[in-house]
Amino acid sequence: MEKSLHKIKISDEELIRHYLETQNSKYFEQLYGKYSTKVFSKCISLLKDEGRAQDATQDIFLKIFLNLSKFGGKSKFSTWIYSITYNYCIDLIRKKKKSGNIFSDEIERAPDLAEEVPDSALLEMEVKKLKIVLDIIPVGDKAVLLMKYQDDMSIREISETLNKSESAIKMKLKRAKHKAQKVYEDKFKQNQL
Amino acid sequence: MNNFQRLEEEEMDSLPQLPLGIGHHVHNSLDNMRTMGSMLDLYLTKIVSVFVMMAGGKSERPNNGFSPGGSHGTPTDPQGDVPGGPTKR
Repeated sequence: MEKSLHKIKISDEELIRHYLETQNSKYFEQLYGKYSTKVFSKCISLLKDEGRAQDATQDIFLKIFLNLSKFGGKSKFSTWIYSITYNYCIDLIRKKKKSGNIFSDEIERAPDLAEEVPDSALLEMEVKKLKIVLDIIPVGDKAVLLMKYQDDMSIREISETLNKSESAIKMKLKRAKHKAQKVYEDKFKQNQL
Repeated sequence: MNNFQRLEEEEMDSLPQLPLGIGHHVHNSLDNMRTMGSMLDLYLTKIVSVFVMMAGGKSERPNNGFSPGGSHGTPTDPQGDVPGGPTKR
């Protein structure tokens, strides 16, 4: 009976444990093969440049495998990988921007928003329109929305990723949702009038 | 699957191919770092002993503290800014 890693379903935690014990390349290939496309996709989405996204993907995976022993297993492995991805891309963008401001609450001095935009306002947007909205809003706002709604990260996980308090993340999310809805209304509702 | 996740699926479908060289480069870099780490493990104590002796001191271990075991762990990222758990900084 031929044993193949492809036929045996191994969890990410087991792959990590086997890789750390043996440094065998087949475990590296499994993990890399499973997550490289998604990491690359997120890099392109945030950096908007294929070349930079390729370089970023390489650096991110180097960081992941150099720090694999630090993965405590308290969150999903995918969440841990995506945290590193978002952090890396955000740092890269901040270094490139002279001002370093990438969130709405850094760019604008907006008054405290009384009304919370419901999740449904964003989740009911058509995919094509959502893509346009996400490409227009500040990249920091885009990142928190992607973490929350695309990667199902909790407020706690987002706060650890961005090294901010949970209340700060809740405020960033509130402003990001407000910004997204405003862009949507300006871009699409006005066209309907 | 919500619209954010459907967007991710669509973007991944239209993604350009990630060059194969990237995975190979990561793997080779890790191998190189592992090799350098093992060599440092093997020879650093010897080098330190040589300098101590040159400075007039005595080497504490008669065999120059050679420990052939070496580290089998993964070399660590010098930047150290990777989340390791739920503890807030």
